[in-house]
Amino acid sequence: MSGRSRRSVLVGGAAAFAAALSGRGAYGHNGIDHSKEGAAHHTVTIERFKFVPAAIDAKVGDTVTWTNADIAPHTATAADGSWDTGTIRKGEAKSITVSAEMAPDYFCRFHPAMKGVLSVG
Amino acid sequence: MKTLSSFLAAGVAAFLVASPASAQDAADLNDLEIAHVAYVADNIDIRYAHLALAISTNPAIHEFAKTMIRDHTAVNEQALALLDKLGAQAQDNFLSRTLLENADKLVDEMADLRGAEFDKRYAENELAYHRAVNDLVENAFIPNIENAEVKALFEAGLEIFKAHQGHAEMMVEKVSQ
Repeated sequence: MSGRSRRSVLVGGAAAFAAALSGRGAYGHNGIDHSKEGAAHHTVTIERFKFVPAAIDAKVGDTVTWTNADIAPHTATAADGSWDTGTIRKGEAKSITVSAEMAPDYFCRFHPAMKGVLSVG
Repeated sequence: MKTLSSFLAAGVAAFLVASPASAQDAADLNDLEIAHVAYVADNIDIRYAHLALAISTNPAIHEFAKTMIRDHTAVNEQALALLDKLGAQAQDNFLSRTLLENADKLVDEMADLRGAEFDKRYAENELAYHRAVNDLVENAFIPNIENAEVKALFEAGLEIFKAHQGHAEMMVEKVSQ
């Protein structure tokens, strides 16, 4: 997978970017389909009531995994409510696949002072 | 009414931390007594939260109360699992009993309130209660806990309760507007 992935990522990224400019519907499909060949995987650890790292840059089709190292359950939830990992308990991990429509600002629904940014570029 | 509320809030805080005599006593508790106080303190906050869910109609108060139930339940599960692992049982003591007596009075008082008056009282009490218990945990308990695993759990718990204290401050501002 890694051998052929670099070109695919670039092609997928370009196609997704072009699609993003031309229309939302095409973007979602193109981005996800192409990225399956070379999607990056981002990990965020939730520890001591913080998202670490607090900011990540992802591309459409990438996956992001949040792992909870705290005792308290947390969530990663879009500030506008458009996406949500659901409850992540101690030691659990939840993943999402990045899509074009995702709002970048997110927080923990249970602890609103916890904030993160997932930039889709 | 306001005077009574303030007096009770101050009373809880004063009992827990302000009086040198009680602080000294709290510092004398052994690990298993400290564990009992923490377990009781967790359950008291869960009780306040259930009262809030029953009385308040404010969605923000409901969210906050659910977080209190979720987090304090999670901490208590960890505490019980650790005690089980250590083959130990928490020990009842004077401070646990006094906390419960104070909580009974506060529940009685808050149960008579409705609407914005309840929300304000609940939020203010959450702030005062977390502030008082955090002071107790940080200054009287953690420095005196002997078992390393118990100490680590209290340190993790303190982090959660400090987040709650910050959250409660936000709630107080919100319901005071």
